[in-house]
Amino acid sequence: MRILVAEDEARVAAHIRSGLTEAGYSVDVAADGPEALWLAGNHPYDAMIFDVMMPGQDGISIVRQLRRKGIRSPVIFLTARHELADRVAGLDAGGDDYLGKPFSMIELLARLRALLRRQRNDPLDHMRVADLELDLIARTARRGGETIALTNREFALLELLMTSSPKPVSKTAIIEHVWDQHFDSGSNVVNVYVNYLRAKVDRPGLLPLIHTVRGVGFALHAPAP
Amino acid sequence: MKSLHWRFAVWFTLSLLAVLTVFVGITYTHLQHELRVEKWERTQPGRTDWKLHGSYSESEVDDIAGELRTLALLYAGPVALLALGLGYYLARRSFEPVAVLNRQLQAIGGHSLQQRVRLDDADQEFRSIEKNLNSLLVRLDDSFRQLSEFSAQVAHELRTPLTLLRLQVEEAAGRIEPGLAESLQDELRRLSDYVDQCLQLATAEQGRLVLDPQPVALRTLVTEMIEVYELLARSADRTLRVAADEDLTVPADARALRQMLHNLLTNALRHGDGPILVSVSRVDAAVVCHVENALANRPVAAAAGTGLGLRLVRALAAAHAGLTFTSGPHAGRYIAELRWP
Repeated sequence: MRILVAEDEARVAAHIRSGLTEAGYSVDVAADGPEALWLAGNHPYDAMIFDVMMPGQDGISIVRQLRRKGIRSPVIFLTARHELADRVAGLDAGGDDYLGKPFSMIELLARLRALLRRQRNDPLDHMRVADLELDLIARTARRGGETIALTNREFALLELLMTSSPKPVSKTAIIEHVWDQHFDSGSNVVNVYVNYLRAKVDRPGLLPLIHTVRGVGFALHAPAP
Repeated sequence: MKSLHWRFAVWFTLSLLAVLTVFVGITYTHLQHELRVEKWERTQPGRTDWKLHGSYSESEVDDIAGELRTLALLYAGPVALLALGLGYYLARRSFEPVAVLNRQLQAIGGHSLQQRVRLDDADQEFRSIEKNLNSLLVRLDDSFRQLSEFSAQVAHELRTPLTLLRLQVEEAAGRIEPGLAESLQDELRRLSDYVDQCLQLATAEQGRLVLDPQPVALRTLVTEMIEVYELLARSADRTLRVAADEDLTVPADARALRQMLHNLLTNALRHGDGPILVSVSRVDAAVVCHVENALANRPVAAAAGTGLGLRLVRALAAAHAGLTFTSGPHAGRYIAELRWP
């Protein structure tokens, strides 16, 4: 899948490119508004990631122009402005999602996958890691054929871990994705929730799928043979 | 008298009464002089060669002058009332442009500073006020736009390096010492949160915050978000309890309300002591949400009211029409209160 990234800060753009490439996407990067507009108008992209504040032309007006031309590829805005008016302006212009800076690569990938899933109605409605299955439409989880009862937060946490599987997810990314708030002693909260989830997913007798990666966070994958 | 309309009406009435009093006084004095000093002379009908000369008696003079006095006093009341009414009407008519100006100025908020006031048929004096107000609005609009652009620039300048740092730390997390990686991620998150709160506070205090007030069921919202704070309270050997008999609905921006409750609960956890109680109740016609806890025996409690968190709660509450926020120690407990009328 081909993704256009429009970000004027070269080092941020390089990190996004590397994260997306590692996740299997092919990526084009535009360094300013006019370049982004030209690339988007002349190449078919499965999704586009636009920084809002760019030299030449801002991301919102580019997307407005693209939508007027009939280009419907889903767009995620990256922005340093988190205010309601900015979010509304972005979505009104034809953006599909909105991610505030500073963001985590894991969160960007999760949002991108969700967007592509919505767009294509493809088999990503279900996720699977080893014998653990997640139905994103019915919002249910099953392991080894048995349904696992999860709260909304546990489901969001499991979805994030499965999205980035086998790569680990940082505690910070988990807090942002699951709660959208910063907590003092936030790490403790994440530990407790991961333990709740572990008790339900890695029941006695089953191979453990949720792993603690010290210094990084948590990862969900089948244990190495 | 507080109303300018009434003040002008009273001035008008008093001025009219003063003029009338002087007029009646001169008439009275002149009449007395004519009746007492001057002699009258008149011809007899049919006898044109007869000329009669005479003067009024004292009792006749008193009678005529007394009648003038009585009539003047009798009419003074209705004339004063009429003058008062007329004065009020004239004052209202003259100050109509002020009412029009007020209505137009009330409709101009932080997000509609590009609007201008108009007084099409007003007198010259009001037209000059209109001109000066419009130039003031132009200057305000410019300042607000500059502030907004400055905040956006600051946000961009602060959040872009934070993004880069975060992406770099995330990428390097597997290669550096685990304790350091976790600590870096925690501190970056704390810094990002601090930047968020500072920018949000600046926006709110500049009156540029855009809210989306909708009916919010308070108990539902509190219950949805409380779980994690219960967990944090438990980890500090404290308890957190919610007391809400009915699910009262209040007009609020749900995101801002969550932020306010988050800041209050974080403060209660960080600076307070003992059990934390979150209550939602109706007091008279008002809906009141309390976050309360025992005062901590630590010196940090004294500084609880000066923190960024409380300042943001105050600014967010002020941005909601009618919502008031108060906080402080009360009978050995620290109580933060959000009150909707």
